[in-house]
Amino acid sequence: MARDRDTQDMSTPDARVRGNGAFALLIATVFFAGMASLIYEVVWIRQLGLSLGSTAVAFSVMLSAFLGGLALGGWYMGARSDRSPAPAMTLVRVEVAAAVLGVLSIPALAFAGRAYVWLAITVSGGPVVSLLLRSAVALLVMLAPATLFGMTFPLATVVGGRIVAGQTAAGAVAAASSFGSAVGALLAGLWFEPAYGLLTSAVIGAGFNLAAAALAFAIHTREDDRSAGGESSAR
Amino acid sequence: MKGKLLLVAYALSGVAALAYELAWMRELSTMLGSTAYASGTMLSAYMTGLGIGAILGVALAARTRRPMRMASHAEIAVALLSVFAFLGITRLPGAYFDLMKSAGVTSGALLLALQFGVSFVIMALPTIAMGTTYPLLMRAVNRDSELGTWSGKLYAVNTLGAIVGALLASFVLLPAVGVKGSLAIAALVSLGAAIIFSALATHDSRIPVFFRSADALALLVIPVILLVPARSGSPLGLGQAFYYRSAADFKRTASSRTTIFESEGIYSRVAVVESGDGMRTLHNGALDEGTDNDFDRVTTTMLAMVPAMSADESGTALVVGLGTGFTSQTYYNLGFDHVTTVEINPDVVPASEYFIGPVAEDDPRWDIVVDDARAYILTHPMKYDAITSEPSWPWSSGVAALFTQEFMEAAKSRLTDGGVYCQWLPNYILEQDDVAMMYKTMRQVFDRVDVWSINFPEDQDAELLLIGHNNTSGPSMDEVKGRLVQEMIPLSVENALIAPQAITPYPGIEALEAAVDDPSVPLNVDDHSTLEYRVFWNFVNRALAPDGEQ
Repeated sequence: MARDRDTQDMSTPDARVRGNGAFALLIATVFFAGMASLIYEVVWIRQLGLSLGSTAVAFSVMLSAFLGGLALGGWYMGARSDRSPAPAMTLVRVEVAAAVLGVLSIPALAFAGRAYVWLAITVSGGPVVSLLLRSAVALLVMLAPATLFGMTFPLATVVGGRIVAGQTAAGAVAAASSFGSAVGALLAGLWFEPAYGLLTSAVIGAGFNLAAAALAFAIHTREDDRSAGGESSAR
Repeated sequence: MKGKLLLVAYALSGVAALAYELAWMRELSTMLGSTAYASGTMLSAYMTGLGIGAILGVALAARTRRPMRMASHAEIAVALLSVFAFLGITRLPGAYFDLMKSAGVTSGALLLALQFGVSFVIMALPTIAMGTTYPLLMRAVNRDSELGTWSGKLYAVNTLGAIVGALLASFVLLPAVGVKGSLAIAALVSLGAAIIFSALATHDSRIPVFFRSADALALLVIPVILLVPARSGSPLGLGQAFYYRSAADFKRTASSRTTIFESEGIYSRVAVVESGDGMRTLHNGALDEGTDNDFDRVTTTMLAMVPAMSADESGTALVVGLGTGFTSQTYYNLGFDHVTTVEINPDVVPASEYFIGPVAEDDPRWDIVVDDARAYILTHPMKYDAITSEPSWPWSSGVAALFTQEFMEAAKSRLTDGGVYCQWLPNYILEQDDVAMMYKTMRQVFDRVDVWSINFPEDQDAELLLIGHNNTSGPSMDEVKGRLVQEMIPLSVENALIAPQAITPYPGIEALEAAVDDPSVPLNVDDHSTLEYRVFWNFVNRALAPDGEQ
């Protein structure tokens, strides 16, 4: 069981230092990932609003697409992260993929916006058709990256559960994600967008994803070290 | 069964969380303004509360033997503390306003810190309580081998609940029962989650009426919220900082006003108030959107008259932003065959009737479309002889998108050959650099841009009208002025200020033209809508600085 393994790993001072260091890295990973996700949320909703409009319906469609992606990612990755032999490495892949999609999102959003306008003129339907088109465009562009963001939560929790007690890991991951989101919202709204605009803000968001990926990779290598150390002790 | 009930309860918690968030933000944005800065600080304060709550939850989970029961208490605490949050929201505007004014906020960082502080004070306690729930539930589940499974499931259902909460609050609760009613219903949802958590804590998967005496007190939250008087009439917030020196000053003026129309809608609270001298003001959320006083009448009239006199034909007109309705009415009175007005907020439509009177719904010359103007223009390829864009101040994101080069390009594509586009600029809140930026932006789209000043007796160039000609061979500014003089003679009888001297060619046009080739002057574009942020800081500098221009 994970708890037994934790107890075993943390039984020596060296192991505790390594564990504490890895846990700090994990908290930083989740913090950066939380920052990135809120930066993207702010940027995407604003960029897509330029084409889909700033009505309450359009905003709700965009917000639902984003949150729906998070929920999907959390649900999809939940049980899989428990079975993952190297969840930290999976986290690395998720964050790198999020960075790539994040950078591509701005041109994709601009294209999707133009596609929506073309479709809206061509189809020329009523409010229901318009709502369906808006939903389709928002889902098309935001669902994949938002799903990746949602995967971070269970993955990071599982990684944390291999370092400290499961409940501690779960709460700490939630706190780090919330604080990262809080800082991301502040930075996006108060600094990045006013100073650099949307595209650059998205690139900065991708930078935080990559930072999260680098930290997750560092955790992964420590896991490998610990595994190797454990094996040699056993021998 | 227990697992499913747990997920349902946590989904309910998510529903309530977003309903609270949107209701609090609705009220707070009236105080703080609906700017990107305010949105960022409010969202950040909310998330900070959740983060602190999660840390507290970890500590509580480590100490309790009954985490599910404690999660139930946390949900009850959320409901109870939301009452305090609402009380704070109703009490805080005066204190916040006086603090903001007396501090003479000269530092942007100080103002933003103040906004964050206010948001956090309001939302801290309930959001901290919300944040504790997740670690407590994870402790209650207590399955390290399924850590990812449960964290993923709980995260997913809570987020799905948040979607439902956002939709419910935006489209049903806030328009139907207002902020107070929305908070009461959200509190009921929290209590529903608390009941399920508590039932699970008793190891009884049925949901009996099991409230214990202490928990039953939580039900008092509903009548308490409903007893708190809701705010009504003129709002006190950032938008009023231009006009009042203190909350007491505002209160004296507000007490002499009568609210003659009020509607809580999906975007904001829209109200029409009448002062003792009979002047009517349209409030839309944090801002005064217009009045029927002489000065505003000059501007709203000119916003139709100048483009109408500049265009080759007077067939069709499009007005972006209904407001008091005077601009659309002027186009109508000038004899345009068809006037389309696009207004995003449906509650402004009935409010405008308190300014321009009722309009026959079946009038074939008059059409009000409730939609986002930008999306409407992009997706409805009709042609217009004149388009007037007079949205609200460009310091909120949705409105800022109506001042960019891309929007102007879209508008130009909807003009007839001899058509014109009229861009309103609130010069009283702009610096010369801002006007240069907007002129340069508009010149990227139109080869010919005329700039007109609206002059009040003690405030020259108070507002500007930029007229973009689709065809450079349109009437000269002298010819336009001549037409205006002719048209204004009959109108001046009812309003002395609507006179030829109220509108003149802008005197600083050479400097503006020089800016077109100046690479140091930025463009206001979608990717970087500089005007939005500059207007905010101009406002702060003028309305809040110790020696502010009031």
